[in-house]
Amino acid sequence: MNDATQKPPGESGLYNRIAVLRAERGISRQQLADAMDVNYQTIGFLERGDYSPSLKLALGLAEYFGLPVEAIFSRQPFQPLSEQVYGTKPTGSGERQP
Amino acid sequence: MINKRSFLGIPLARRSARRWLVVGFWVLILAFAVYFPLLLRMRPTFFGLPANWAFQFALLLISLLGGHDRRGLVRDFHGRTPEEGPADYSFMTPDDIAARKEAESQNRLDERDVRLRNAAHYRAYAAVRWIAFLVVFAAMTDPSLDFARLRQSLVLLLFLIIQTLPQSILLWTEPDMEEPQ
Repeated sequence: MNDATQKPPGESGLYNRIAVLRAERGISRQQLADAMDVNYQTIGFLERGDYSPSLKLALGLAEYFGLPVEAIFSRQPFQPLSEQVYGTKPTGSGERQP
Repeated sequence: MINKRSFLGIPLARRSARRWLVVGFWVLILAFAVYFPLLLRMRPTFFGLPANWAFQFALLLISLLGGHDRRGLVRDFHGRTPEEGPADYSFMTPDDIAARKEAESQNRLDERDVRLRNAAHYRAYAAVRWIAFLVVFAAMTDPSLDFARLRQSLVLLLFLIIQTLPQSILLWTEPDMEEPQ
């Protein structure tokens, strides 16, 4: 979800970074689901953009990850992390461009 | 919203398998509705009236798909929702409270489940509305149809449709299930 191949969102029409944030913190869907008091399948649907969460759940996720809600959900595709951090466009070859 | 990952060896995690199951279920329901009047005409047996057995079988078909309790293929529609908050445990012993909490945690609907459940009921209602419209239209416009003869089948079919269509819609539409990891 953090490169140029970012998939379009599913039925929800929302882009999100839940999968990236979850991987970054090394937590499973089940653990996140337990923390959010939802079923683990709901986390999967959220990650794929097939489900748009309630405001309560979106704010709960923001609180859990310690980020503003707009850092997790967006109506526009997220800027690739490489571009955000290094100011480079992903080339797909693994080389960093100036 | 799917309660079980397999049923009689059929893996329910795959939507395609679930769809075959729904098709089989509805073939069974239609066959049962067609032969229901014949069952009613059979002579009473030692074990009870055939109508009694037929009704028991109808209830079995309904409970199979779930939505009414925890044992079915679809999660119980009456499970506690997030909006309802914690249950009232007053006048209960600690053991009863623990058992109740355990049952509720297994039987809980999250916000997506509630949304799916409500959408499935709306779709089922729309379908039943059309079926009722067609039946009434046929009854009023085609005098050759013998509705007295079809009545028992139609009543049973409508009963089964109302009781199981939302569950069938959920089993049909839910995408493939994922592993918790």
